[in-house]
Formats: sequence, C-alpha cells, structure tokens
Amino acid sequence: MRNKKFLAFILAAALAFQALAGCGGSGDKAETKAPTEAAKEETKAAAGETSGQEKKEATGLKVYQISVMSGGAAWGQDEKGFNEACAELGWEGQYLAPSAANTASDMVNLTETAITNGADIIMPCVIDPDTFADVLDRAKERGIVVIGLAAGDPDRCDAMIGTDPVDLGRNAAEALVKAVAEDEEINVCTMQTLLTNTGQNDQRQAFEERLKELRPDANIVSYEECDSSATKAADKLSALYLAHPELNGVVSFDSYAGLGGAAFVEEKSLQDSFHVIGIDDAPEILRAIQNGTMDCTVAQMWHDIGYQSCYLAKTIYEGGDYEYDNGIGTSIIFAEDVDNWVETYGIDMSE
Amino acid sequence: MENQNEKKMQSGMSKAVKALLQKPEMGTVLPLAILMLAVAIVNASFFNMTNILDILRTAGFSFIVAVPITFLMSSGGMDLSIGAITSFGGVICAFALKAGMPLPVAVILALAAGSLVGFLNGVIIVKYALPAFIATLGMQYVVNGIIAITTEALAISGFSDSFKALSQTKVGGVVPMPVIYAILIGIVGHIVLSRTKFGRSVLAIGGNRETAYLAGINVRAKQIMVYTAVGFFSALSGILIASRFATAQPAAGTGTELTIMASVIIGGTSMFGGQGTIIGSALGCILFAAIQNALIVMGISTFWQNLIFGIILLVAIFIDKYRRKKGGEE
Amino acid sequence: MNKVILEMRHITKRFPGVTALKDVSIQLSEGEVLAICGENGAGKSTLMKVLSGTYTNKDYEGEIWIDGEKKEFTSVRVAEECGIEMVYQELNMMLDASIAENVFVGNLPGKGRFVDYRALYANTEKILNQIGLKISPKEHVRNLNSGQMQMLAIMRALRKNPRIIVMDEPTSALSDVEVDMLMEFLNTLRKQGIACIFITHKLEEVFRIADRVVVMRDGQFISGRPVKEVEQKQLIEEMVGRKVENLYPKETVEIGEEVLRVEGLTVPHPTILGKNIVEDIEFTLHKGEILGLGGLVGAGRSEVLGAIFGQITRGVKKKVFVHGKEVTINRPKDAIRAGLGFVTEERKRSGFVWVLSVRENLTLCALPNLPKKYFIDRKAEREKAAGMFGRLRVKAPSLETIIVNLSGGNQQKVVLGKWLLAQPEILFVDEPTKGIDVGAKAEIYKLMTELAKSGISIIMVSSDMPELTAMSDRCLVLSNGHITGEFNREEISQENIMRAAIAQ
Repeated sequence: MRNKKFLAFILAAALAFQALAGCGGSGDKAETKAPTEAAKEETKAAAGETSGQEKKEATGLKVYQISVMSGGAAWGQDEKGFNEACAELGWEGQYLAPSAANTASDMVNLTETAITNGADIIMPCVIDPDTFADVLDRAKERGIVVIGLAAGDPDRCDAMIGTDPVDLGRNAAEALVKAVAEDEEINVCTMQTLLTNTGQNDQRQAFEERLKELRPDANIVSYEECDSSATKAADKLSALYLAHPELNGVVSFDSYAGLGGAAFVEEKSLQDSFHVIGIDDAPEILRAIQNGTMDCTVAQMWHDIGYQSCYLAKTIYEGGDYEYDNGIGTSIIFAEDVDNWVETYGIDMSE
Repeated sequence: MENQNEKKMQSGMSKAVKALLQKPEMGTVLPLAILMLAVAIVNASFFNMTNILDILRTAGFSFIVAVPITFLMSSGGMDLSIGAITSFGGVICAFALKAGMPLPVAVILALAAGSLVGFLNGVIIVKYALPAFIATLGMQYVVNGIIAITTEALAISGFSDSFKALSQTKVGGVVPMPVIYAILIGIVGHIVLSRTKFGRSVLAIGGNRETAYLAGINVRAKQIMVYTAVGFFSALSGILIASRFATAQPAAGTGTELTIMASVIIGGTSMFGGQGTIIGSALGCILFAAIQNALIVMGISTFWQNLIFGIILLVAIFIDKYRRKKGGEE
Repeated sequence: MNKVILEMRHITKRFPGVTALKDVSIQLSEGEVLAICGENGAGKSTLMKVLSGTYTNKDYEGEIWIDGEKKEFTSVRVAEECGIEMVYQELNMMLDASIAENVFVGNLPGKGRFVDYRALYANTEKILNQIGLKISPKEHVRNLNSGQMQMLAIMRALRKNPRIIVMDEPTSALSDVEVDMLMEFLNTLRKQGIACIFITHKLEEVFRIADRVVVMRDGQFISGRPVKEVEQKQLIEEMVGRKVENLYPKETVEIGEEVLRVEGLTVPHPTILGKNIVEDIEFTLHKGEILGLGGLVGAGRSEVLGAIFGQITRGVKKKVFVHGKEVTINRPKDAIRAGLGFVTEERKRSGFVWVLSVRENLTLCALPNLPKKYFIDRKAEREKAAGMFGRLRVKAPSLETIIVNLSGGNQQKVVLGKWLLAQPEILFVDEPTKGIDVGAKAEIYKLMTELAKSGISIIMVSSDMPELTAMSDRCLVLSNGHITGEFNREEISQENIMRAAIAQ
C-alpha cells in the first residue's frame, strides 16, 4: 500500500517534470541503454543521413501512439509492448491518450500535437474515420507514416495493426457457440460501450454474420450499450431479462459489460442457464470465468499489438514490403485455459 | 342545487389538485406515475418484486450520494467530483484490503479518504471563494488522475466474501443491503434537514449567505462540513459498488455526478439554494433508475431510449418550474 | 394650462383573485411633474406597468389616449414610440462597462459593426453636462454610488428623447445633495417641456417639485389636486385611509448608563485603495437612547455599523466596549453574543432569506436560544415566532407564507422581529424605513420608541432628514470619515445636520 502510494507520488513527480522539460517523451529510456550501443546507433543514424534518400535508416525516430485511454487491461498491455519495442529500436516513443476515454475529438487533437512535434510515425486508434480524416490527410502530406492502431482507415493509413474487428466479432460468435450446448436455443443480446462506436459496430456485425453461419436458429434479442459502467450493464441485463424471459446470454464488446454480466448471473443465480461472453483478459474477467459466472472471454493480444506495431512501422519507413492488414490473432479462454494463460502472460491474480 | 354542489366539489377537487401540484416532490411523482402507468399497460412484469428491488438498489447507490448532495445544493453549492470520489472510495478500500488490512479498517480508511477530498473541496471553495463548478471539476480531474496513476486504470479484483457481503447480502433473502443503507441514510438525512438547527442553517446559507452570516451562523464551517459529508458518502457509495461487483473499477463513478445532481434537482431541491427535500431526492433517484429499467422492460429499442429519457427529464423539470411559478417563488 | 398629452381612462387590471386597479383615470399635461403617492400595494406600480406597455392592452380594461388619440399599447415598444420612458427602481446596469456604454447600450453610434467610441464618449459627455454630473464617460459603473447610478438610469431614458418620463421611487437610494441635484434636473426637464410622472413615498419631495399630486389606495384613485391646494397631513390621511395622529411618535425616555463605547474606529474605503472611509472615530451609546447617525450617502455611516458588528473586518481597527468591558468582535456571531443586533440597509441582500417562510426568518437569529441543542423544538419555535408576529402586527396570511410575498414594510417588520427574538441590548438600524410605505413607517417608529422605552439602545443611520431629526435623542454627523457634528435633542435640526454633513 505504502509502496504503491510512494510509487504514485514518484510517477506524478516524473510526469510533472516531463511536462516542464518539454516533450521529453521516453527519450530518456533510450538513454538508459548501454553507451556503446547508443553510440553505434548514432553513427548509423549519421550514415543514414548521408547515404541517399531511397533507403531511409529507421533510427532515432519520433513515434507516437494515440490510444483511446491510458492504462487499463488492454491498452496498458499495448503501451508496455510499444515502449519495449521503442527501447529496442532506440526510438523516441510517446504514448498519448485523451483525458476522457474514447473521445475522438480529443484524440484528433493529440494526433495534431504529435504532428506539430515533428512525428515521423503516428499510430492513432482511428475509432471514427470521419473525424480523423482531415488530420490524417495532413499527416500524409508531410510524409508521416500512419498506422491505424486497433482501428484504421484504409484510405488514409499505410497499414493497420491490431485485432481486426471483423476477426474479433467472428471469434465472439465462435466462443458463444462453443459455450452453449448444441441443443440449447440461442437468444442473446450484445453489449457495447456506445452504440455509436464504429469499431464495435463492425465487431457486432461480424459477430452476427458468423453466428448465423454457425447457428441459423440463433436469435439476437437486442443491442445494448453500457458506457463502460458495470452497474449500468448489470441493471440493463436484469431489466432485459424481465422483458425477454427467453434471454440466455450476453456477448460483450466492452470489458465492463462482461463484468456487469457476471454480476447479473451471480445475483440472479443463473450460472447454469445464462451465458456471458467477455472480452479481454483482465484479472477480474479471468476470475469471473473461474467462478463460473462467465463462460469464456475473447482475448486480444494487446502486448503483441503494441510491440509489433513498431516493427511494422520500421518496415514501412525503410521502404520494405508490407500488407495493409496486420491482424494479431485472438484467443478464446475457457475456465480450463485460465491457469495456463495467467502463467504465459504474467497476469497478476493475487488475492 | 345539485348543480351547485357539483361545482363546489369540482372546485374543491381542482383546489386539491392545485395544492398537490404545489408539493416540491411533484416534479418527479407525476412523470413517475405516467411511466408506471405506461409500463403497467405494456408489460406488467415490471412490478415483479425482484425487479422493484433491483430498481431500488440502483436508486439506492445514487441516493446515498444524493442525500448529502441535497444538503449541498440547498446550501447553494454543487460538486462535480462526486463521481471521481465514488471511484476513489472503492479503489482505496480495495488497495487497503489487498495490503492485508482488516475489512473495517479498510472501509474506514476509504471513508476517511473520501471525506478528506470533500473537505479539501470545501476549503478551496469556501475559504478561497472559488466557483464550485470549476473547483470541483478540477478536483474531479485530480482524483481521477490519482486513481489512474495508482491503478494504471486496471480494475482491482479478488476479495474475501466478507467484503462482498457488504453489498451482496440480502436481508431476509430478498432486500439487498444497499436499499437498507439508503433508507437509513435517507431517514437520518430527512430528520437532520427538516428538524435540526444544522439543517435550518444550511437552508438559510443557501437562501441568502450574507443574511445567514449576519444572523450569527458559522457559514464557512457549515459549508465545509457539507462538502466533507458529500465526500464521505460518495466514498461509501464507491465501497458498496466495489463490493457488489467484487471489483473496484477505476471509473465506477464516472458520469454519476450529473445524474445524481439532476435527480436532486427534479426532486424539488432548488439549484440556487435555500430549498431542499430528501424525499424528493429519493423520488428523483427512483425516477432515474426506473426510467432506464422501464424503457427496457417495455421493449423500447436502445436507439430510442436516450430520446425518451431526455423527454421525461424535460417534462419533470417543466413541472417543477411550473410549480415554483405558481407558488410565487419566482 | 398646458395641453393634455396623456390620458389614462378607466383602467381596470385584474390578477387571479385580486383586482389591482379599479377604474383609475389620470391625466398629464405637457411639462408637468405629477407625483403619484400611495402605500405599497396601492397599485401605483401596476398603473405604471400599464402605461409602459409591460401589460399589453389585452391584459386590462380601459383606454390610453396620447395627444387626444386612442392608442393600443400592444408592447413596450409601442409605448416607447409614443414617447414614454420608464426609469426603474431596480437598477439594471452592466457594472463592468463604462457609463457611456451603459447609456447607449443597444443604440451605439458607429458604422456597421464597429462602434465609434469618440462619438460615443462625446455624446455621453454632453448628457453628463446637461444633468450636471462631473464624471468621465469612461468611468466603470461599478465605481459609481447609488445616486450616480440613478442619474445614469435617467440618462439612459433620456437618450431616446422621450416626452414623458416615469420614475419609480427615484430618490430611495439618494443622499440629500443628490436629491437636490435630481430635483434641479427635473426642473430643467420641465422647462424643456418633458412631462414626468414620479412615484414616491417621500412627501417633502412631492411638495418641492410636483405640480400636481395623485393619491391612490387599494387600487383606486383617491384624489388628484394641484400641490398648492393640499397639506401634508391630508395627503397622509388619504394614503393610509385613516387618521394618522403623529408620524413620529417619539417619546422622551430616560437615558441610562453607557452601554456601548467605540474607540479608534478606522475602516478602509471599500473601493479606493489606501483611503479610509472612516478614520479614527469614537462615540458612546447609552441605555434607552436612540442615537442618530447622519451624513451624506458614502460618508461611511453604514461602514461604521458594519465594522462594529463584524460584517466588515478587512483592515478595520477598533476597540469596542460593552458595559465598560472590552469585547472582541471578529464576526457577527461575536457581536450577537455581546448583545448586538443589526437591521441592515439592504433588506433583500442581507436582511431576510427570501425562500424561507416568515416563521423560519423570524427565528433565524434566535436559533441558538431555542431549547434543545441540535433539534429545533417546533412548538417552542412556533410560539416564539407567533408572539413576535402578533407583536409587530405583520400583515401576512400566515406564519408559513414565504417572505418574498410580503410587502416591503412587512418584510422589514420581520427583519426587525428576527433581531428582537435574539434579545439584543443594542440594536443597529440602517435606513430602517427605506422604500416602505407611510403606514408601515409609522409602525416601525412606534416600535423603535417602545424598544427604547424597554431599555434597548438604538443606533439609527438615516438619510431621511425628518426621520433623523424626529427620532434621535442625540445625533452624530459623519463627513469625510470624521464626526463633524454632535447634537443633542434640542440642537437637532435639519439645518444643523446639513451644515455638518457638508463640512470638510
């Protein structure tokens, strides 16, 4: 407890210092590397500058990720992976996030800031292509490499990395079908952050299409939103259950929707008859799966997304060959997979 | 003769209706009644006991904060940081439990932390005469920032059953604990606001600060006390929400500040101070919880829900305005 | 006789449950100053709202004729087009804008979207000279005193070149010097042929300036005669509808020992840095005494009371002795404990809590005196409030009526009652009869006399000369931060007070 608070203080102080010192970013991370290595890189960079234009040397670049939120089970992992890769490549990487999660307009402003600060590579999460269109066009004019992070825009991004929403949606359908017995009916609702969230709408559509393929008899009772509030999710489910007694599952595209679903199951003692399909692999989600209040979760590999985004950027910057879509696979985790998963990804499940 | 009697009765009736409309709580009762009627026609399973208790529980979480907010708004204040303090309360309690502290200690620590934030709000606003809107908005960011830094925006889970029992226990196997807490806090709040010298002073401060000060009321101390209480109960609500999900979510209270203040206002508490009713606030919270539930139960598509929700709120606030106008208060 | 320019014929205005005006007819001639007198609630303001078009012609019965032509006042605009301008009692100013901007708001000179500030200031300067105000047109309104603001409001009305100006209680916030200026100004307007209707409680002003006086009572026209033909006593009787024996029922009370002594009282000026509005004054107050505190508006009279009471604390130096013992007063609570009470000048701002009932307002200062520590003993509270309600003869439907619905005079009674319930030995009253009608005034004076008789000592700040001279046992006059005159009962006269008030 005390340690954590102390850490918080230090972090706050460090943040303040960074803000005062201008956009230092994670430049100091590069500096912590062994001096010889750093020196080597410098000479490389110098060589790159003199040796003609076609083949640019990707060293000492300014890279920005513009995500939808800071921290969190998913994005926190992405940030970790991103910072690790930046340190390896000797890049000046900075991870930006809006103060209120999921606000596209703020994210556009952050992207703007990144461009103004002389970014070589930007990786925005293009949650709303229309809002981003203008700023991305400007980035292109300046020759900045643009990679869509988790969500992209094929017209304006060089490439997209992350879980393809379509892939994620399809996997959610597969998870649901696996969780439900073969002779059991499927009457489920979906629950996303906001119904206006374009990426989640793509997920939902892909989910629906795949579900119809797997189980033509399946019925989707309603589309819901919970604004990232577990309370709202649980309350909505209990009302919905009343209106539709046949409802027997919720497929969540928002991490807290799954948590709300698990609480609903627990409060109504519906462990045997109601199915909750979660998203991501936060400890509380994995715990719900262990308890039996959640059937399974579809986990995205956020650490890999963050890490590999930088290497993808490197390839593009250096003029190598690449594909637009760079999907990082998802995994479905059932109760029996939890222990293994926790061990592999080092998730803190301490009581 | 008969005709006259009838007329008399009619005028008596209309008088009764008018008198009823004068009640500060009418702003919520009428929309609530209409809503109930509509849902009764469409899907009577709304009135199922567990559903009613579900609604009351949801209302209870808000009401626990709405009680001190009623005092605060009666005294002419406002607080945009309650949502953040709610999250904060849950997170602090979770940290304390994770650090191995016994449950009562963790709860007290979280309540103390919430009270401290409330106290700071009070001092900043009252002593340095800053506008409450900006000061508490700033505090909202500060508290949310502290939460983000300490939790790295990760939810904290994995608690003992005794912690879960705080919220998850059902008295007699039916009534959820939060409803019981809310009722107790509501009764105490109602008595304090309407029957004590403290309550009267709060109303006087909200009605006219200068007059209250000249009348010998210790205005600053009382205002700071109210802000502190707001912090205390926001943290309590946060602890209970964490207990309900056995998870302390870093954003558990985000967005509740506006709905709670709106519940209090449509319940009949003046936005400008001097008037407050705990019963009204209770009805306001119930209205908010019931609208959401009823719209779903009636099978109204989510795409329509926000629109209808907004219209009901506007109707509620119009009735309140009409009532005040007729009462000659404006 | 000049020609009649305005006629209001048989005006009847009904509100739900009450008839505010019953068949009222008045006339106004060119260049005439018409005073309309009456108690609060007599219907004067309602009549003026009819005239100004605030109530449209559909809301009332009766006709308005301008220059012998019938007009339909469908909106305020129509009234303005007919040359009628209102100067409201409640000033409606942009405090942080300049005088010039306030005067010409909505009608700024200039081309297109741009304001021609040079023309604006020049035009304003012209009007300022016309009314004899020596202030810069660029001065911010916040820095003006209430008298200057009132002048400003009239200026605003003037810039539209009206033929009839209507003023509702124009002098209630003015000092005597400013009243003189205003009167002079009205004379100038009269010479220019502008007619003026003014509503007032102050009968002296009626006699000084008006050509004709109309008395209204209970929404009815009572009388209308040239001022030369009426006497003050007659007017008062017509206004209240009963015989008023003596407006100022001051009785001689035996003056007892010293109860309050103030030494070295210094109060910094509220707006001017480094200047003191009250500088090192001292005075005493005795048991049963009514001590008048005279002087011009802005002489620091209210500040004296506020500083002693702990309402004003910043930069204040003072020594306060109650019954010869020094007391520390850092805030009003300390003052109340020392036995002081304070009826402030601004009733609305600091006298009552407008959303609370009469009962709740009455017991506000006495809350700590009620039995039980934390709870309010409802029975005890009701009894106390009801006792005071009866004693002060407050005219209100019940103790539970919200106080804003009362007339000014009855609100003032409640404010007084609120302090009396705290059982003070020393009562400060600042402009106790400001803006209240004659009937209520007489009752307030009577009450003050009774209080003095019962041994309560009173300090009264007043700009109302007859009130000050009639009610004070002793009178102090402040000017420039110093006491420039002290008069005992025999020496008190309007001339003496005035001389001291303008002394440097």
